[in-house]
Amino acid sequence: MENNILEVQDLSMSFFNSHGELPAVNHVSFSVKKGKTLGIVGESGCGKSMTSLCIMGLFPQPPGKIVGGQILFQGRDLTKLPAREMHKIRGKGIAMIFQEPMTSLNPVLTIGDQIMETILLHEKVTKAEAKRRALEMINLVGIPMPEKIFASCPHQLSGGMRQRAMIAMALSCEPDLLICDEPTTALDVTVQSQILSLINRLKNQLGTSVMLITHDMGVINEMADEVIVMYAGQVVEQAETAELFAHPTHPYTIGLIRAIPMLDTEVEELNVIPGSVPMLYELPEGCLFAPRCPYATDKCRSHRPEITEATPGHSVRCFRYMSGWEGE
Amino acid sequence: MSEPLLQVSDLKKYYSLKTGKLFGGRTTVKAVDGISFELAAGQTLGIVGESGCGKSTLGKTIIRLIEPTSGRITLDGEDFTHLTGAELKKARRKMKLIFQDPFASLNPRMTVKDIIGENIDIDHTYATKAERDDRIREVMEMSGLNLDFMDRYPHEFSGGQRQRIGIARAIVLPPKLIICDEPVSALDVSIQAKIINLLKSLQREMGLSYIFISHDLSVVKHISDRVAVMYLGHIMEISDKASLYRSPQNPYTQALISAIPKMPGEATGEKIELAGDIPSPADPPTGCCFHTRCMHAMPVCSQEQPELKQVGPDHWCACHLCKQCVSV
Ligand SMILES: Nc1ncnc2c1ncn2[C@@H]1O[C@H](COP(=O)(O)OP(=O)(O)O)[C@@H](O)[C@H]1O
Ligand SMILES: Nc1ncnc2c1ncn2[C@@H]1O[C@H](COP(=O)(O)OP(=O)(O)O)[C@@H](O)[C@H]1O
Ligand code: SF4
Ligand code: SF4
Ligand SMILES: [Mg+2]
Ligand SMILES: [Mg+2]
Repeated sequence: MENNILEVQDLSMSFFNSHGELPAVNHVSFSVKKGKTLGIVGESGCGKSMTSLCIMGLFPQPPGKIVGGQILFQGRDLTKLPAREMHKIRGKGIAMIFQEPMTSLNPVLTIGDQIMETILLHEKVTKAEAKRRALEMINLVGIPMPEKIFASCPHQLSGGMRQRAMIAMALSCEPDLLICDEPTTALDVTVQSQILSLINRLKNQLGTSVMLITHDMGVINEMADEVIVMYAGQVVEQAETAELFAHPTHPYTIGLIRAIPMLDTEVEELNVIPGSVPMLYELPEGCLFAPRCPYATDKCRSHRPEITEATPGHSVRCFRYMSGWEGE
Repeated sequence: MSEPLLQVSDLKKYYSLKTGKLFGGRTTVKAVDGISFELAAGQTLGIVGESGCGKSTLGKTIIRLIEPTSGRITLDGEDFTHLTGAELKKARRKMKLIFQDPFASLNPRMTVKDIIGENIDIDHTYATKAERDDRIREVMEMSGLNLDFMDRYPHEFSGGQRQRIGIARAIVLPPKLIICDEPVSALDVSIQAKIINLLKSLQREMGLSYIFISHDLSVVKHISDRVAVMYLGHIMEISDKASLYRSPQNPYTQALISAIPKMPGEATGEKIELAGDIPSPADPPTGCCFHTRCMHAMPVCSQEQPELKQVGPDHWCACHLCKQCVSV
């Protein structure tokens, strides 16, 4: 616990609608170490965003409801905090940046006013001090001409500048944990590279812990200390980054890595994973990956595997790595 | 080399925009500003570059979905630039364009069968409905679509299936060239891999040529024979892919390649971080359009626009630093 800023334990969040109960976050456990970056990877619809919105207390509620588990942040269980307390943690304790910066920017206020407002909400400082800090943040995220941007509205900025402005706002109260949900997916590679190096610089300078959601294995490789792979609402594999790439173990992880065209090697055909991520109302009975898995056995189709440690520090949710596997 | 299928020479597309409301001021956006290349039958030319550099405009101008401002397009030895009426219609059958989301522009009330069959219906290619439906079934199978879907509507399909429908629609009257504008950019990696494999196998079967537009340099490398790098409406470098990725000559190409987040095992050089944003194509820099962000810029770069010079057997680069290769 000492070393962990965040511990998510057996977290489950379901949507309740005409289809019944839909487990969007399904017994998810992981932790984020102080000053480190945890990467979360998986295809769309695997529950990455919902997991982070649970932590922020911002998932759609209803139809969503946390049905089990704990989210321990600095020793407090966020699932039990009253809304007022949660409001204080957002921004100051945990801040989040999104793929689409307009999710968190107000279109009619200047960037400067928005950052100042966040600072004034969380800290007892004068307006002049808030302004000084806002400008400092805008400067820190590498925006040229901070005064000009301070007085601009979001729509006057390019995509990359907006993303930076959002990061400046997220960091203005020096949060202990920064959650980044696909922060660079909509950006060009050269801008992506600027934003990722900015996140790393801030992590090193301010000691911020980072939870980075992406579908890009290259981004994971360059940014994350540890990785969890999510599939259909579950964590299917967890390891340190170097270990994950050296020994990818879950058939889904292996499939994902092999489907990517590599810069340095030539193949005629890319590896494919048959089928697609299931909808939550059509989850199979056994292992959630069984319909797409080349190794699936009858046991896989009727029983759900638990996540277990395959080697020290490397956990996998797959019967192949549990005793008594009789497949292949 | 035999006669190329497509020759594009000094193609320009300038958009004229109203600026001031009061004085009827106009400004010119040089979206495509003097592009030349050749494409051989059965080959793929990849086009990479960041958003706004003119890739989509180039694609649409080549098939004259929008009219070029100047320049010449030669298709199959015939000047396509000035064709009109029936001749234009006939020549246009040789080229098809597919988009990121092929359905964004289609009637949501048309069934898949009618969407795919639209081009043969307009042309009355088949005498009987049975023959027409047979042809639709055939291309659906070639595109990996389940025949049960024939009478369904676009909204019922996932992104990957929609792209297959877009491809089936493009090949129902077999073209010689398909311009693919970011066809996999919105798809998850495992779906992306399937579509790329499909495009490659159709190319083998039908002898198609592709112009493959993408901002993803790894995907472009996988699918292309040759690659052109665009910046602000210009080709900065064009080459066979092996030479381009092994020894990029243009400082912009070098920055682009260095910015890709690398997987383990891929060579990682020093990241070249570009300062600032791409300039506006309404007010492009003088001389070399990249000089405002180039770390090697010299005085001549802001004055003279560099020509594409041959620097290798099939490798051209527009940069004042490049020496013409004499011993080609
Ligand atoms: N309001 C909702 N009602 C029902 N299901 C939802 C709702 N919002 C999201 N979902 C489902 O929750 C699952 C996880 O979504 P999400 O966390 O956004 O995935 P990711 O971020 O990994 O792409 C998906 O299957 C999605 O369809
Ligand atoms: N119809 C249009 N009218 C005016 N400007 C346009 C139009 N379409 C594109 N542009 C401009 O032309 C430039 C090139 O755009 P585009 O070809 O879409 O680039 P890309 O596909 O590389 O992102 C951009 O600056 C864009 O804003
Ligand atoms: S448990 Fe069985 S079906 Fe699931 S991933 Fe492992 S081998 Fe495949
Ligand atoms: S011509 Fe000059 S500014 Fe342009 S890429 Fe070459 S060195 Fe850089
Ligand atoms: Mg998401
Ligand atoms: Mg485009």
